[in-house]
Amino acid sequence: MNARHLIAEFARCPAESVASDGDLASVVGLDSIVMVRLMLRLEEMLGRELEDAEMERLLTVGDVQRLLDAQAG
Amino acid sequence: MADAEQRPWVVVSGAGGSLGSALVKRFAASGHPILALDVNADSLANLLPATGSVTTRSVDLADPDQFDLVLDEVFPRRVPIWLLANAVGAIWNEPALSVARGRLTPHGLETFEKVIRANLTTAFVTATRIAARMARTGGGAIVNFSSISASGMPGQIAYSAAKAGIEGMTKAMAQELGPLQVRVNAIAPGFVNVPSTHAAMTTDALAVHVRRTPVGRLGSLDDIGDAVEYLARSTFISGKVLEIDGGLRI
Repeated sequence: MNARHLIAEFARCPAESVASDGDLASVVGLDSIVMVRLMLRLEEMLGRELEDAEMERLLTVGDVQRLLDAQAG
Repeated sequence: MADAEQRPWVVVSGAGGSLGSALVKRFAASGHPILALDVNADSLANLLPATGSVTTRSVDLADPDQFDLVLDEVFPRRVPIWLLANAVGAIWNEPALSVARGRLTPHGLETFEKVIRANLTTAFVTATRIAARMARTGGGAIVNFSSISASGMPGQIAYSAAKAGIEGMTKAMAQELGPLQVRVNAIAPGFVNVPSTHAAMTTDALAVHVRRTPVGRLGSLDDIGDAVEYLARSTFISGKVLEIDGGLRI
């Protein structure tokens, strides 16, 4: 799964506008409510709850991609 | 018991009160496992119904850390919670100004904060923590309790403020949590035939309200329970405040 596409889907913006090394906080449309929905979607994809420390580390699009890659790997 | 554990849970806050205990008995009788919460341990002692599965915990619901501990203990793994009946609260009568000891005395800050804590902070802590659980298990319904006082009841300024807060919180939460399939509504009862209503006003004053009520009687606990169940089951209703008052506020 591509993190940029996933994040763009939740932020309702074009995937091209989501920089692969950008901060999640800088993605237009990814406000705190949408961020909650994104985190729950990630949990669903991973099949487990995210630890608090894991959530705290999810600061950039790259962090989300690494989480998804780790699960796929 | 095994059958009960397969049904989604109902959480009742303020379960030791008249309304809370009636809700516990209603939903336990329909086979839902119940988590019954109240700060007053003694009030929970008589809750065990003839049928059903009821887990009781005495907890200060205004303390999120205490409440989190209870939830982690009772629900160590994900379980679906169908309904939070957020019946926590307590009526308080105190006017903005009164004459006490020969002086014009404003409403005490300490009692104001105590009433906000007992009615609004508790409901906030309970609703937000249960919402987090519901969001992870496919959703659920939260029914908060406002009051006829939410529109401003003379002599109850702190209670009125708290209940108006409940209505604002309900509508904001409904908007935020709808996409997570968590519906949030509130019930604003009129005058209900419970001891706290009789304690809050004189018999004469209550009789005046009954005369002004089109259906000509006080509400019953069953009337309120029916409304809670209706909101729990109606999956297209969210962010609403349902006035249950026999037509008093028409």
